[in-house]
Amino acid sequence: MTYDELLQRGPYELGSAEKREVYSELLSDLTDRHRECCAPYDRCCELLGDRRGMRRSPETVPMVPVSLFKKAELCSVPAEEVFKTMTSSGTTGQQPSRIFLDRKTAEWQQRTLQRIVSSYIGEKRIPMLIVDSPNVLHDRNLFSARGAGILGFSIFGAKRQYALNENMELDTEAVRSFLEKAAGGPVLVFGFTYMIWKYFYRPLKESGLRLPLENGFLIHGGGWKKLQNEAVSAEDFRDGLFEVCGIRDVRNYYGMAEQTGCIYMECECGHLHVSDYSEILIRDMEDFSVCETGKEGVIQVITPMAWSYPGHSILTEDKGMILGEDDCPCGRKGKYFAITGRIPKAEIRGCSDTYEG
Amino acid sequence: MKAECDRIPEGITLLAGAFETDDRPEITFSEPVLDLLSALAESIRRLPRNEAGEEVRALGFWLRRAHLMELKEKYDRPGNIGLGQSFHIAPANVPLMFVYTCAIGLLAGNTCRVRVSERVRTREGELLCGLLGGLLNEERFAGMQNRVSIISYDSGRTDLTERFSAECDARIIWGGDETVSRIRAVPLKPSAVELVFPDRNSLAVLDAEAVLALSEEELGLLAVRFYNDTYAMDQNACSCPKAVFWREPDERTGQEAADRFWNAVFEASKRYALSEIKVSQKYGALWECMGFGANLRRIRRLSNRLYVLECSDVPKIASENRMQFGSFLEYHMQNGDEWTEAVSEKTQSVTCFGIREADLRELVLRHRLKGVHRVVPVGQALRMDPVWDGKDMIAELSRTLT
Repeated sequence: MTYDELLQRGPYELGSAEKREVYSELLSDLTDRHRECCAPYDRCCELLGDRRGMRRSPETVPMVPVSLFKKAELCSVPAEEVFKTMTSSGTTGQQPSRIFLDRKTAEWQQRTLQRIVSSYIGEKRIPMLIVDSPNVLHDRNLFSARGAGILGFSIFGAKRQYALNENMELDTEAVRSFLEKAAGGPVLVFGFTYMIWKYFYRPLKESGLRLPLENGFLIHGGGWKKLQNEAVSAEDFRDGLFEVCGIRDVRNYYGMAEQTGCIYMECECGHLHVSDYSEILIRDMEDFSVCETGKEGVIQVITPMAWSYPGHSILTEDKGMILGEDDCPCGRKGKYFAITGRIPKAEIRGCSDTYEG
Repeated sequence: MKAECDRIPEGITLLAGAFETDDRPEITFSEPVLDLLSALAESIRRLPRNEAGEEVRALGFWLRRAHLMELKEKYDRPGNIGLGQSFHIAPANVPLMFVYTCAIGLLAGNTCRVRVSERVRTREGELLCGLLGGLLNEERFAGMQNRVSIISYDSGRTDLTERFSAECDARIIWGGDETVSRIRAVPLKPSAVELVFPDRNSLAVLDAEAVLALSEEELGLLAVRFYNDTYAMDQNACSCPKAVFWREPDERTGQEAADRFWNAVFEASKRYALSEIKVSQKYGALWECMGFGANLRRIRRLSNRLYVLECSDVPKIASENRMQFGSFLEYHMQNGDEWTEAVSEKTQSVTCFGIREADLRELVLRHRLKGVHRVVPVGQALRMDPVWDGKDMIAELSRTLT
């Protein structure tokens, strides 16, 4: 099976045995391909004991630490085939990740996202309210993660309206007239978790204004960290939004710039779901052994979609646990899981940077 | 005490001693200083076992009277007297360093103002400030009370660094290159002296036959010493070896010794607090080195506790700050001298086993190396000495009357 063929299936139909079979084949071929085309990656694999041509399973494909994409350029296609370079800001103050995409990979990303999201909101395009400022797309030399998320999701919007102006203020007039035209029909509301809370929920709450979004479907991602710092729980988020615009369908997703498109959507039961297009393993950091269901560890993300750069198996800096596989009450096949946070930064000893703090 | 507090500028926390100090110098290794420091050693010795970690106990051992007398024997020149006030900028991530630097300043006959980072205010740091402050408030140490000032303030308060720099007769900067450069730019009195301790790196030289000759028990002890030199400080202190060089008669002996040694180090590393962030960083560094760093022949991974990267060429360790949390570059030497090629002016310590220290010092001289300030047996990398980075701190921080 090729990734193109895999995209014909799914997005949530492969059972664990079949998926393992399909993935072992796809990932083995892909690892060989990256080893052939990306010399630094090849050196790493060789030293880690990976052998070209060997049959690998999702557990045995070498894991690239996500930080490596910030430190170095990793590319498996000739420079002239790089169609765009994606960057993620990552944690503040750090160098961004640089992900090199050729046309095929960029297209796969788009189709992957489409297959996953349309299984939730339907194939039909609907009006889309983007909770961000149009400025976010104006920085064109570099493709930011927020911009990429918005552009990626824009394919689901029939008409699009940015909810915020250049100053990050809620453009109440524009939003109201947009929703009037939608006339109570389905609307996709999309944005980053923190942006929605700070620039959408809060102004609405403070002004006492109510928006008619009873038939809206809200998708948000980008991480809970900032909201956790403000002690806003998933429930507070959901309840707050229901209060200010009557929206009931509020879905979180997990995803990262290093594997754009392969997102993990929250189902009706509140579980993040792994689609047929990617896989997740939880690793125990003591020795990288695979954690069983219910045990917390560090998340490894795997996808046969990463063709133009060796990012088909990445060890992230996020923590989580598998909740189950193939048996979520929502009926979707595949693993479902929960994110529990990021690896905590700890005090590290040494005398290299003395004067800080 | 209240009046004292009123005189402390906004933004400064006094952690022990007094803010207003008596800046008159004292003779080197004076009795009141020896009394105070050995009393501190005694306070540490009396701590309950669970309160005093290894580092605290090592400090207590260093401060006991018998050891201070050894230092006096070695470094004191009768008739020497201090400079006046010394201003110490202690490192952020070596929690107890501020006590060592303060003790050396006092032994040299100075009144010490020590700036510790907010980050140093760890449990151990607070504990030591509490013990020291408590002693200074006792009647018997009334004469020392205004000769010690342990303070903390935000590193952004350049005005305070400027003030203390203008007042002092000696400034001691521990720290990374960046800190040293930044603080060096702050003027001192023309007569003041300055000691700086910038970034350094260290390495170990081991003899393969000597390792193979060890009994299991001796091997375990060697591994624990090596562990103490490295893991104990997350391998981040300047004197923690980042690379291991093997002296061997032939390749096979070298490999056998390495197998034996690293397995023992792995055993010793089982008590290391290996957090997820450390693994995340060291695994990231491993990939950086494998993909973009030195030419590597092979790597050893013993769970995530120990990574050993065997190099095909003499590793360049000058800028090697990625080896942390139990990661080591390794090189098997052909003639036994090649470790000298890894030395730069940034190299501080060479730890050794199975090789005479004098022989290694001899090589430093013969090759006219800019780096290497000390050669010590494995296990003593982190042991503080008044001669540090090749500088006799007692001599530098005092003057000789002729």
